[in-house]
Parts: sequence; C-alpha cells; structure tokens
Amino acid sequence: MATAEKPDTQSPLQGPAASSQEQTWLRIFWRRFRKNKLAMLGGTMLLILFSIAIFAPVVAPQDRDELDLSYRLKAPGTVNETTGQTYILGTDTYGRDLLSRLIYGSRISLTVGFISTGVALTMGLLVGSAAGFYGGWIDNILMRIVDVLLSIPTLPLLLTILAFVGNSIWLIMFVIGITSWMGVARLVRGEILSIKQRDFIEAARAMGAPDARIMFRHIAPNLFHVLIVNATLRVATAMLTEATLSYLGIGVQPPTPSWGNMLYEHQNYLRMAPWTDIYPGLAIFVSMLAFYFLGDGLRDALDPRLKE
Amino acid sequence: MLMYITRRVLQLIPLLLVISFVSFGIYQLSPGDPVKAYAPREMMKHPEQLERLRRQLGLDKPWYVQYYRWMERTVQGDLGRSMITGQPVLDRFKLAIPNTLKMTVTAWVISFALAIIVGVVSATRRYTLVDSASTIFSFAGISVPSFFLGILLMLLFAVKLKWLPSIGMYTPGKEGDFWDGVIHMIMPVTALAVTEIAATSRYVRSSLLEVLKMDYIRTARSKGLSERIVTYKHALRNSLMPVVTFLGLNMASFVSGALVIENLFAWPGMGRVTIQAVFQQDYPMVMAANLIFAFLTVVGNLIADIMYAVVDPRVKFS
Repeated sequence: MATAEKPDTQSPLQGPAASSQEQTWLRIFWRRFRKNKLAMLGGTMLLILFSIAIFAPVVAPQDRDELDLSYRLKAPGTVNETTGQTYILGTDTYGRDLLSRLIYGSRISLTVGFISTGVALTMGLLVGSAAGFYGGWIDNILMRIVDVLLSIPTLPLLLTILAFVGNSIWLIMFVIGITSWMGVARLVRGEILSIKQRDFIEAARAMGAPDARIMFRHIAPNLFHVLIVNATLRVATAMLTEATLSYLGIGVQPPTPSWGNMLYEHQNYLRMAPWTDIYPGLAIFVSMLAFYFLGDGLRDALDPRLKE
Repeated sequence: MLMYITRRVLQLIPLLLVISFVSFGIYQLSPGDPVKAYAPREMMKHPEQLERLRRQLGLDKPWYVQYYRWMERTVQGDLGRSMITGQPVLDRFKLAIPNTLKMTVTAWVISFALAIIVGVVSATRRYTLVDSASTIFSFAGISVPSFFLGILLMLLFAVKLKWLPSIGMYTPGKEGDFWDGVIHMIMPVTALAVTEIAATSRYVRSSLLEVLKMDYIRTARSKGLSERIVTYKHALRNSLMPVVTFLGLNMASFVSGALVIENLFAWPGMGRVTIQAVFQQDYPMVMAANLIFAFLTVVGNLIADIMYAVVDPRVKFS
C-alpha cells in the first residue's frame, strides 16, 4: 500500500516494523492533507469551533439564559446602560445576548452531530460487516432490509417519533442515528466484499486464521479510511438534521439554545430583527462548510489509489 | 417492459407494509393515552364514558387487531378522520398534495437541468476558473440549509428589494393566475433546488470525467471527430445514466425539503398540513402523512428506475 511508494529511511529490520509503517502512513497522509488549502481551512475552522464549544462558559460574554426584557431585539452593538455590557450580535426576543446563545448552541449541535454519528456508525458497521463477511442469505436479507429502510423519507418519520414518543435531547440523538445507519452499512459491506477478494485474506485463511482474526486484524484496518471520511460528512448531516428539527419546533426545546431552535423562536421577527435569524443560520452554514471541506480533504489524502 | 414495471410495482408492497408498521409502532410506543386526547374535556370526570369511547374506537383491542383493522381500512382508501377537525383525513390531503407536487416537481426538473449544465461545463473546462467557481458553488450549496437560504432570499427579495411576494401561493384575489403563481414559486423553488443542483452537478462532473477516460472516447477522438461531438454525443449520454439513479434517490430529500420550505413560505401543501398535525398530536393525520410521503418517494424512485431502464439498453426487462 502506501509504504511501497516511499520506502522509509529506516530499514524495516530495525525497530518494531508496525510502528514505523504507521509513522510513514501518517506522514504521507499529513503531507497530502497539508497541501489541500480547503481541507486545512476546514480543519482550522473546526478546531476553533470545538474550542468555543468546550470553553463556552469562558468565551461567552454573558450567561446564555440571562435576560433583560427592556433590551429585547436590540441591534448588534447595542450597549446595555445598566450593566455596561455590549451586545456584539444584538439581543433576541427575550433580551438575551445572541452571541452567548450562539456559543452555547455550538455545544448542542456538535454533541448531536457526534453522538448520532456514533450510533449510525455502530449500527452500520455491525449490519454491514455481518452482510459483507458472511455473504449468502444473511447478506441478502440484511441488504433487502437496508433497501426498504433507505426509501423511507426520514424527516416525517423523525417528526412523528419526536412528537409522539417525546423530544429529549438523548432521544433526538438516538433517532437521528438509527434513521441514518443504512448508508454506512452499504459502504462497509461493499468495502468488505472487495477486500475479501484480495490475496492477503486468502493467505490468512490458508494459514488457518479464525474468522475473528481475519475480521479485526486484516479487514478492519482497511475499512478505516472510508469510514473516517464518511463519518466526517455524516456529522455535518446529523447537525443539519438536528437544526432542521429544531427549526420546525420539534427538536431541542428552548430555553436550551440550539442554532435551529433560535431560528424557530425568531421566525416571525425576520423584518423587525433580521440578525436574530441571520447569525444562527450562518453558524449552521459555516460549520457545515468546515465539515465538508475537511471531509473532502480527508478523502483525497487517505485514498490509497491516488499517487502523489 | 410492462412486465418489468408490474414487477417493480409489486415490490413496493412490502415497503409500504414496513412503513405502515413502523408508524403504527411509534403510536403504540407513545406514552399518551389517545382516548384522553380525543375525548371532550367534560368526559374526563366519567371513567365509564371514557371506557365506552375506548371500546367504540376499538382501542381496547390488542395492538395487532388494531393494526389489522387500520390496514383493512387504509387499503380501502379510508385513512380515518382528523382528531381535531373530524374531517376525513384524505380530504385535508387532497387539497395539499397537488400544491406540494407543483413545487417539488418544478424544483426537481429545474435542478436536474441545471445540474447537468453546471456539471458538463465544469468537467469540460476542468481546472479553469469556471470549474473552481462551480466547486465553490457546490460546497456552499451543500452546506447551506434550505431554510436558511429561504430566509436569506426572503430578506433580500421580499423585505429589502420588495421584488417578490414573501409567502403563499397566490396573491389573495388572484388565485389561479398563472404569472402570479410563477412569481410566488421563485423563492421556494430556488431554496429547494440549490442543494440538489450543488450535489448533482458534482456527480455529473465526476461521471463525465470518468467516461471521458474510456477507450471508445479515445477512438472517437482519433477518428478526427470534433471535441464537441465527442463530448455531447458520445460521452454525455453514457455519463448521465448513473445520474438518473441519483435523481430517483433524491426524491426523498425533495420530499423532506418541501416539508421545511412549505413551513417557511406558508405554502399550503403537505408539509404545512403535516407540521400542524404533528403539533396538534393529530395521530390519524400524522400516520396518513407518513404513508403519503413514503408513497411519493417510492413513486419517484419507481419513475427513476423506469427512466433508467429506458436510457440504458443493457437493462433487461425480464
């Protein structure tokens, strides 16, 4: 694979072979990745976003729920005369600082994005690898189920679940996950089917390696590069789904701020206070853009077929 | 051909069964008591009346009996009555479905046409300024939530410039007027189509680039055919085949998109009716909405499959 292109300066006989191979692989990846300006930009944007989410209490100029009803829907830059506080991005309909709510909203978006992606990846991996590895009737049944589930429109279904079963944040993350694992399952199955054809699997089998060893030792590492790209894009999609549900008023419930429900709360103030709609929307847009830039760069940098 | 279509239609039955089962299952999982939600308030004090109502509605039976009865009625075209208005569910949707179709089908057609143009242009002028511009457009297009794009359009064209009407299908009093309808459609259709154009044009681009590498293209070029004929006559047709499948799969996202966009632009379609029903916890309406949305998606996929079979001579109908 990648090591064949540029032999490591170290002789493979010196030191543990696996670790030097890993280093080379990482180095090649980094060299390719660094060259991609958009990917670096996406990565940097995401680092900033993560820091903002983690350090929200420090970064936010005000408490997210602190309200001043005499300062409702004030334009960006307004100064509160009693506290001396500047509302950098203005205030919302309850006189809360919009910037602080946006900063805390990043926590919800990212948490939902990552946890529901985790759920989707776990289910997709289980189903996809069962189908790809065992083949035959197991594959047939599982893939028919995937086909059927893929053609169910998810948004109405999500709305139904959240409206009738409840809309706690945990349920939201879980249902976004369980309605989006089918793509992962297909991807994993396809990859495994093609890896299974290769000679080194044949060789492992001939040496009497048990199923579990072939699966974890020989197949799993080769799945990594497609999964990481898929997961990156999936986080963005999951964040969008949460934003959509919250925008419709069915997702994360106020006063917990989410970028989506901030739009929901202010959908009638578009004329009076456009900033209450523009900034939350921009936050969603920019973070999705960052994930797509990163995902695209990862795909190019990790693709073993592309030569430098 | 007819056999093929029949077989594909028959394959839809298990799908619709699964969807009905899932949406019925959600209802069973929900913690609320439907009888209490349905009953008038003064009945709450009389448990024996509540029980009678429960029996009348058939809600005292085990879930599989309820499911069977519901399916039996659904197959006969009776989707029940709204728990809020008492109107037959289908009557509510009958008015809304054509409005939704008007918007989604227009957006679907426009996004298909524009995606091909953008994709072909950027594939044939690879690594030029045009190609980079379309790359940036597609990144922005897939990242912008349709509702946010809709909000921006509304702010610009309805609030600031006052060129376009912000909500509804027609100006009151001008119902049915063709041009008035077109003007009202511009913003919702744009908001709905941009994401799809962005995603599909990338797909067209890579598919065309793939085909342009094939041997028969080299043959065509070495025969001395002009680049124009090679691209549009030999390569384009073949590269569009996978795109057709992609469009079928996209039907689901159009349907979801319509739900959101209708809500923003107060478009009197399925999405509005559904969201309202969800908020009112109007179960028969929500269940019917799920079925209808699934049905529309499935029909979209079916049309794409048939189109694919028509375009690709390699598909056997037997």
